[in-house]
Order: sequence, then C-alpha cells, then structure tokens
Amino acid sequence: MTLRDAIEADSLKVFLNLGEFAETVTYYPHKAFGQAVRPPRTIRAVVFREDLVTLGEDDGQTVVPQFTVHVKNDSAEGISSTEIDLGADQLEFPRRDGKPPEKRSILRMIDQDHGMLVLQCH
Amino acid sequence: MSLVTSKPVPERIADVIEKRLQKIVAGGSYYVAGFEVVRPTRNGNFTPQDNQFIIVQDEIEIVSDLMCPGNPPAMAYRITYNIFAHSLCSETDITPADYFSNYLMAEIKRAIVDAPAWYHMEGLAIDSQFGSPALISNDGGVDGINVPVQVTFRVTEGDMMEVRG
Repeated sequence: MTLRDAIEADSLKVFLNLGEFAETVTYYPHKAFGQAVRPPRTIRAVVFREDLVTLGEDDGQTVVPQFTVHVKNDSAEGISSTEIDLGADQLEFPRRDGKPPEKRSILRMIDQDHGMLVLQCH
Repeated sequence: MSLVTSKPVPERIADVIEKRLQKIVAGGSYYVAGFEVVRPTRNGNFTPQDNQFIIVQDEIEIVSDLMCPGNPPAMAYRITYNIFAHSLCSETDITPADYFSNYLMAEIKRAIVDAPAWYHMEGLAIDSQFGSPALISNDGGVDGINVPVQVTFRVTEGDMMEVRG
C-alpha cells in the first residue's frame, strides 16, 4: 500500500472516526447550472465551531458564525472535489453541541488533497 | 426585551425599507427571485445565500441646517441604511458575476421607490436618496452589491418616537 492509498484509507476510519471527533452532518448539494437536482446525503465530518467573524464582504458590518469542516474527498462517503459547488452547496449541523441542526452555506475550500477537503462555512 | 410600545423613528424607517424589499421576495414583476430579507441579530442569525438582502444601519449624523426651533425644538438626522445584496450562484453558472450584481442593484432601487412619494418613507422622513452603490469584493466567498439609502428625518428633541414635519 502506498502512502497515498494509506491516506485515503485513513480518511474515514482515522480522521473521521465517529468514536473520536467526527459527527454526522447532512450535505445538501445545489442544483448545478443546467443539470439535474442532486439529493442530499448524510456524511461524516469534523466540525470546528469557531467564533463569530465579521463578513468582510459586507464591510465588516455583519457578523456570522464561522465553521471549519473536514470531510472525506469522496462522492459517496463525503464530498468530492469535483462535485462541490462553493457558495451554493450547504451542510447541516448544530451550531453548538446539543442544539438543533441548521443549514450553513459552504463558501470556501481552505485546503484539499485526494483524501480530505477542508471547507469553510458560515 | 422591549419596554416600549412605540418604536423610534429610525426603527420604523427600517421596517419600511424591509417591507419594500420583501416585494422582491414575493415575486411578481421583479426579475430577481429574492430569497429573504434579513436584519442581522447580534450573534449572526443567517447564513449567506443567493439573492439575499441584508439591511444594516450605518452612520447617524445630525443635519444642523434642517433643525427647527421651538419648544421643544426639532432635531434633524440623516441615517444611512446599507442594503447588502448577496449573490452566490452556482460555480458552474457561466453568467458573469457582474450580471447578477447589476440586476440586484436595479431591483433594490425599483423596490425601494415602489410607493407613492417613496422618499417620505410613509410619512416618517423629510427626504431620502440613494448613495453610491459599491460592489462587494469577491475573495472567493460572497459576491454582490451594497445599495445605501440615506434617509433624512426630523424628530422632537429628546423624543425620537415623535416625527416632526
């Protein structure tokens, strides 16, 4: 097994272990331009719930919560880098531990490799 | 927590602006299918979405030239209400980003003036005018445009609930 294979294999059972830091979230794909509707699916993710940040695009006049979400780079068990639609796709998870889930828009991809995607949601 | 039964004039003006923007969400003859109008809470009560309108108050300045003497005197203020319109179309959309910003700007203005003597803001203001629109800089996140509305109004000194003509 190459290192590349090992990273891919570890993405779910090590980095996205539900017995450790991962949780289940719901991925809502946006209907891409000129294509059919894609159904939502439940996937694993590690969600870093960060503080409120100003939305720079609004001249810093609005604040929104910011989340960094790690998911598997996979079209079935995560979100693949080829299918993700930044700005339109959404993830649903609780804003705080114990709260009901809420949809959050995926605005940016902070990092990516063949095993994992690191997404920024607001 | 609210302890008063009547609203300050700036708040009532914000309600008028929100009501007019809701026309874009309601549809009808508007080209843009508005998603929602939001007045943000202290800890962020929304997630950025396509065709979303965010109303945020900006500067409040005293307009000395429009003050009126009296007992009590009337104070004149000018408040800028920023209307941030968010554009988050699909990555796969081949339409230029500025296309959406231009339509959002046009529809915001059309909705705001869609009322008799719109600049009086239903009797609350002396005058209203649009400020210079500013494109929201896209750093890979949210696109769109800010359309400011500057509203000049007069209230009794010490009582911002009472409109003065």
